[in-house]
Amino acid sequence: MRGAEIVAIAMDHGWTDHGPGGKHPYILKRKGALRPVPVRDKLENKEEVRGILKQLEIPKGEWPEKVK
Amino acid sequence: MKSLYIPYEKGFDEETSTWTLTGKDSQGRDFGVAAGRSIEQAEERLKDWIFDSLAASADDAEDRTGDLSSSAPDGFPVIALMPIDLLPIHIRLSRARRHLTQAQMAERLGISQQAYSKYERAGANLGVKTVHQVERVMDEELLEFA
Repeated sequence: MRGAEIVAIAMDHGWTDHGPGGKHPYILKRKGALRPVPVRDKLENKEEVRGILKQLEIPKGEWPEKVK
Repeated sequence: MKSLYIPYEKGFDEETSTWTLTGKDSQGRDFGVAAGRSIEQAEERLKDWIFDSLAASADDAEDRTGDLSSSAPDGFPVIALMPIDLLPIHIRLSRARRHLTQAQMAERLGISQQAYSKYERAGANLGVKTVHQVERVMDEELLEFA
């Protein structure tokens, strides 16, 4: 899965992209969020995707089918 | 400045033969996630994740280094951020708190903006003389953290 897909989901939940960062093309921020969430473009496996979605506080029901 | 630590949990994905590491902040909440073909590669990526997140907070003049643990917790593998790793974050934070741009900092230091931007990057290898020059411009002791 590509980071751009996660960014698109995150934007629907009020996150905005402030990237690029040093090693991440996307740096997602949302007012009131615990902290910024960097996202790489090439994600290695489903667990990495799930971990990012959790830290973005995306409800599980809205996760892509392939990582549910 | 002392070293700070990110304990992490690790898991192996057999489908892709990759490791996934999930960092934990000082309160046990998830702080960063990264994967790689080896634990070493995943650790490097998790360290990059933490740095980029801290740097993004610093851009908003917000110091989140307190989210990291000040000692290595027992029973967990950890990633250590040494003072030299954290110095670019403190420089960035100090600049943001003064509402200065990188270009303004570069001008005050008499260097190019491109050269200055390297001071705030992960892995910046700054000599004592350079840090003292930045301290003079900031009117703040940065090495007290280091």
